[in-house]
Amino acid sequence: MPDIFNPSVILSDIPAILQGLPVTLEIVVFSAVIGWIFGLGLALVKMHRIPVLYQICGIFVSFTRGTPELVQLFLAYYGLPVIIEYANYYWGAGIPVRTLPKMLFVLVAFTNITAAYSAESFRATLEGVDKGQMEAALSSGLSRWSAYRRIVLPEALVVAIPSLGSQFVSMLKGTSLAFVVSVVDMTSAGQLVASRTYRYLEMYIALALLYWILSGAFSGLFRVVERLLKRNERVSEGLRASVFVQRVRRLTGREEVERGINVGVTDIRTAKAV
Amino acid sequence: MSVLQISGLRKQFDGTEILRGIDVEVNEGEVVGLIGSSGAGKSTLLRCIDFLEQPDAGRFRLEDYEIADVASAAKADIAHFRRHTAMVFQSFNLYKLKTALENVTLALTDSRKIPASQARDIASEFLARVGLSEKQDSFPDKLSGGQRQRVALARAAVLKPKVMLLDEPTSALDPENVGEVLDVIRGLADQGQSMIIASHEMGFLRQVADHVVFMDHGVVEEEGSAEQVFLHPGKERTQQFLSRARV
Ligand SMILES: Nc1ncnc2c1ncn2[C@@H]1O[C@H](COP(=O)(O)OP(=O)(O)O)[C@@H](O)[C@H]1O
Ligand SMILES: [Mg+2]
Repeated sequence: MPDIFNPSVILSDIPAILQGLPVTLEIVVFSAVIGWIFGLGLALVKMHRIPVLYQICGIFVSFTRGTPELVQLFLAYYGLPVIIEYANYYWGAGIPVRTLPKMLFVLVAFTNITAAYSAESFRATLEGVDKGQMEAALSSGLSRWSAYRRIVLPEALVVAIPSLGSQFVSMLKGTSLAFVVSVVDMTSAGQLVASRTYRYLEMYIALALLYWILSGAFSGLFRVVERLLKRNERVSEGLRASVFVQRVRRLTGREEVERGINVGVTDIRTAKAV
Repeated sequence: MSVLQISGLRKQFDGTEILRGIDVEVNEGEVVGLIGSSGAGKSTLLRCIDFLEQPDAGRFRLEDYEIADVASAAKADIAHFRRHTAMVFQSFNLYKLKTALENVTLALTDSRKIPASQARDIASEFLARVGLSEKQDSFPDKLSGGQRQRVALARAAVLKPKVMLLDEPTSALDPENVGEVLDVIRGLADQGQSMIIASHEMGFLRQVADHVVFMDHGVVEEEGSAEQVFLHPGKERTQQFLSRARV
């Protein structure tokens, strides 16, 4: 059999590619966390129409969402040093431009992107939170900030999780662009391997599989987090236990079956006592 | 002695004057029934007292705390009024992601700064008073309308407000749930809780209200004792309204 395609290389490439995994995760997790904080800020600025800031943020969001990620990466890569050089020149900031880590540019670019995309999600979900809850909180003496922190933000976050999750996953895939500024993420690590073995197809198959698995894992993680935060929809342990008791009773044909079902569904506490 | 005194309250929305100089007084331990057609301005009046709407003009006094010009009320004035009054809404406005108990506890810990365990005990006792001990760990979406409003009443009562403001507390309920909520309100009234109730439950107001205020198009058209207003209304507008409402 001619040695055109060698499936075993797919497996043997994986450890080398995984060397880039920490960097990939670092980029996506850092830019997600910081980006979400900025995104929330942008959403609040937009909702409260804070003058000047509102216009600036609007342009930032529209620009970031309307330009390719690759272009933004290069803008950060070439633009940030220029800004720093000017800062050094005018204010004597004394920041060494040449030795700045490449990772910094990547993080700045991806943080911007996450911020711009999440801002819309946050705005939509914050505005979707029923105003009555805020009024109830204010009326009972809570400060606006307390009401936001205890009531509005948690609820908005729960609703925002699915869209934040899908943004996270697309950002995860987007990090593969980091290779263009020679940050060694999974994609770069893979290319290094393939440049030695010349088995590009095998490497890219391995790489694709790894991204696929990671995307699936993170999608699942976000679903779990969403379920945990939707505490009102969680089936309580008590209810679960009482349903179990009912099944046992039904199977054993005990007399209280009917009562058990009744009590179990309408009242968890009594069911536990029964 | 009057606990709450509202004088000359005015409020407009988009150039339309909704409250046109309202005077209302609530005495210690008194239940004031607020009646009037839909659109008369009852909700707006109650919301202005809690500064959920910014009043345009008027003078508020809560015991010996006075705001001479509510249009320029300071943050501290607003905080004082919100702290010592408590609102119950037509649509309950319970905190969706909090259990019944947490709904009642939140203001105790976050506004009154009571330690969490103590706050839980107090809240638990108030839920018991509204007959919901069994439901304290339930989330609002698992409760009936009547139960939700009882949680909301406990949430307001637990703050020991000088005046409770109830905005049509039974209007959003299925008929079979109205009674249980009115019973709780009656209980609070019996314990001497001062309150203003905007309501269309004329029979109930006739029983519990010490004083009845009939509002029409942003003014107090007529007021007096429940008996006076319901049985011997002096104004034609009042008579018309009551005959339509069929007391
Ligand atoms: N936020 C608002 N913006 C504009 N108009 C309002 C607002 N709130 C109330 N109104 C108007 O004020 C009038 C009185 O409303 P409301 O106080 O709710 O009356 P009631 O509670 O007696 O039914 C209505 O015509 C209503 O449309
Ligand atoms: Mg109303």
